[in-house]
Amino acid sequence: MVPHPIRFSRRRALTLAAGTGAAALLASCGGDEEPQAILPGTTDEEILGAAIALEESASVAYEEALRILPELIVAVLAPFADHELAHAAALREVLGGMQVERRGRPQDVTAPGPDEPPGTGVTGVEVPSDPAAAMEALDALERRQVDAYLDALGRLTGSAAREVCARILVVQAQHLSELGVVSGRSPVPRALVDGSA
Amino acid sequence: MSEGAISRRGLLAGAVATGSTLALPGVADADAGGRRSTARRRLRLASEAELRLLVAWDSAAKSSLLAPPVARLARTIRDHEMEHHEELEERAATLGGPTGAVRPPAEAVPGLAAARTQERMLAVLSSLEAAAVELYLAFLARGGDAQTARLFGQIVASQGQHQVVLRHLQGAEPVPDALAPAPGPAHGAD
Repeated sequence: MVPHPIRFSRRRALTLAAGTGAAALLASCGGDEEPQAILPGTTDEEILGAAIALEESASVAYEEALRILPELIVAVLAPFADHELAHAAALREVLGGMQVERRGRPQDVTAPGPDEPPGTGVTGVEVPSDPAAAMEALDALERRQVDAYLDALGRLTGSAAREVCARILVVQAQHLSELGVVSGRSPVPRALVDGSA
Repeated sequence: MSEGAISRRGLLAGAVATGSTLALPGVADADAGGRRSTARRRLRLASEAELRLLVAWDSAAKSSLLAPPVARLARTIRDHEMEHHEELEERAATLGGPTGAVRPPAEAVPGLAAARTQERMLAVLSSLEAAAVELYLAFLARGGDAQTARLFGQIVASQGQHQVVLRHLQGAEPVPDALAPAPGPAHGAD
């Protein structure tokens, strides 16, 4: 690998976390599932509802991972957990706007309710077993999110829904890039970004 | 009601139905043509933006302003911009032909000729990358066919990653915001 100038001292922290374990934090990441199934639904409301669940699951995954990662890595990744929640909030705002436009049909919205654990059935969050596994899982999670939004952009019909998903997609790709930096990989591994490793 | 009346109404209904059936493909063709035209216009603007970035990163990589490791990164990103441009042209070809975007001279890229330090060069590149991200986000918000939307999405994600590199090199927070900035209204106009 060609060394790059932004592989800074944070990388050393990851070395401490390096191990051979690869237990999946997200059981459904990197499987045989088609990308089209990541955010199921045929309407914008359904797709955004699934995206909210995915983002909330991602936040939970980050929180779980941050508990066992080295301090230097936590300093880098801690804001990402907040980003995922902010994504969910932004998606909810767009969804709320749709509900206002379609008064009388709010029950159609497929967003996780207060009693439903975030992420259930979407990512299958599991607790990471070791730091290396946690890093791998976060990487897989971000890739899955990138694929989810790439797919959604071709299916969403409302401009507000498309815009918020596109703005989130950029940040998920940036998370992926930063995870690459922290892990000692290139932050810009390919010209056309998707969820493939 | 006579059979004749029914028959005439039936004929009329049949004629209307036939007319509609004949007219619909024409409407559909016009819609498809309009969508194709819009997609091609966006692809041309995107291709022009990629060529500006290509020239900027190429100039940066070949200049003596960048430290060697930074120049290596610049070459990698320059190659990305070339690939983006090629993919956009390939997509345009499937919709009717090349976009006609022309590679600009370095002098035509805002701020490039005046950059005399690595810091200034990185600022110019950051500005161009931000403009490209805004352009793609505007196009994505406006909709379009799924294939073009996916391509724009893959490219804007890549540009976002280029921003991470630039922010690191500039000593800035690499991912400062939860959402990429909303596109301005001007980019949304087709």
